[in-house]
Amino acid sequence: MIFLTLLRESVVFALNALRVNRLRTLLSLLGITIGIFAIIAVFTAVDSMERKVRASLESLGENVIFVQKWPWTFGPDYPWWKYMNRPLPRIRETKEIEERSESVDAAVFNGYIRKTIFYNSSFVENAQILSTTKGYEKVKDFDVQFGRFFIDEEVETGKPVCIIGNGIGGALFNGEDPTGRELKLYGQRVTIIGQFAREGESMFGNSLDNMVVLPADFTQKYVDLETDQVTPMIMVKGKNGVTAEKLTDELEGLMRSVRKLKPGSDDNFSLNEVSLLTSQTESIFRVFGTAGWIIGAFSILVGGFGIANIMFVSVKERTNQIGIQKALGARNWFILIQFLVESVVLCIIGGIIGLIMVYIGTTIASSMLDFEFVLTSSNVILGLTISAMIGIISGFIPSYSASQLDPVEAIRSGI
Amino acid sequence: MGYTHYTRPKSITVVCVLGFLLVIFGMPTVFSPDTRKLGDFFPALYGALISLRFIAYIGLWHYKRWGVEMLLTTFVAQISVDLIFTEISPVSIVYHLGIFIFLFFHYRKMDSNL
Repeated sequence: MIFLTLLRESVVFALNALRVNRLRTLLSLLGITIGIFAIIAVFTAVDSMERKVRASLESLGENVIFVQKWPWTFGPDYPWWKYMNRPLPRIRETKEIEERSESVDAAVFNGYIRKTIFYNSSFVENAQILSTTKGYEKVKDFDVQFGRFFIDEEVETGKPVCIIGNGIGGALFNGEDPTGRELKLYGQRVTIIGQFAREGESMFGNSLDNMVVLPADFTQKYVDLETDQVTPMIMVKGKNGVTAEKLTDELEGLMRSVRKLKPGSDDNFSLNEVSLLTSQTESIFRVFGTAGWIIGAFSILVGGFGIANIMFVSVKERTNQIGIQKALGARNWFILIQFLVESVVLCIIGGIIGLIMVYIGTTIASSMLDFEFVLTSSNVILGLTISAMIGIISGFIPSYSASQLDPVEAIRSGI
Repeated sequence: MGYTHYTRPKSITVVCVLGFLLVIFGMPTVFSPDTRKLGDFFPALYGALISLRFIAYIGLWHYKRWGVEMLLTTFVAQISVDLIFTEISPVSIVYHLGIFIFLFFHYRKMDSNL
């Protein structure tokens, strides 16, 4: 009970100090405010970017391996001339992988082309055309808003049917159900059988929003899908319970066998995994995070000195009051806690102002940049923790010196 | 009522200076990416331990018994947290045990008041 009374009194003292010496206290708090703002703003930006990258990586597919000509990651010795001469993935190889592998759930060939698509007098320039084989729905997660996805027969026979992305649907049909309407592609009428639900932007440009998905057997009547221009790839998804490592090992052996590579010769294909990118992005964000806390640490340090200074001033101003309190029976710890709580409360007020500034900043930035910055609860807790910690560390010495004052001398030094 | 004057030995000063340095260098770990990864409340826990350790060294600087007691408490708490969440540093354990053995010989001579 006495502690609660003490806590309430100390909070009142802190708020009183703010009210009586408004400018002086606010200037002292500014150090903490700027420090918390700097550190939490950097963490919020880094966390938001990391979340966006993770979402984009997840959209590439879970437990999916990409068989491609070029690797996604490389070290300092990058033999690009060797990769240049590698053969491209082929539709025939996709079928062989699916037939011969025990661990593969689905293997899908994908080729990308940029093309203008027409619907009556409306058109979308440079729309991404994805030509795919059977099983795309198994290797990529998506939702269909209108209509349906391909059935196997449509893909295998290369029927002139397509599914459009949400962005294309919005541009050509103003968000209305487009199923049954016909687009004009390669001089052919292609029936829309479905529209994907909105996915949002992806950092890797693989969002389905601006894509038109067609059966590869239809597209290859008009375009060669096994050239560098269409960046062909084979997406392979492992069966449930098959680890990425096991799948990669099996795929490596299979691809070497399909391409009839001699023992000892180098692979002429790359097996790319999402986890490779995940670990690379993690290390990049770790650097950003570290830079953030170094900048923040210096700001906080300066803020801490400001608070220590204001607390020494506060003790000096109230020396007489401390003397009277002690003369009336106040114990040392009572005086200590009184000033310590005041210091912590001041720092937390500074921290809260900093957090409010971050919140306002993220709201403004999110509305202006078409990128969602989120001030997470963990960052709010971190901001308040740092504030409280600085309050304790910078306020303890002044509080302790106040608690050790001799009552008689303290009363004598009355202001 | 007479006051007993307690003088801090130079060896305690050295321990305190080392302790303050450890606290200063330990502060950034509160908000380092590695600590944040362990959980939302882990930085708060770590921050509390570092603050208490700082207070303990102030107590030690003033040659107070509560400084040693608080340092021992924070050490035990730190070891417990490290055991649950992270790897324990043998160097830190050996260093602190050495410090505690040293402080044990001074404990009786220290001031028992706040």
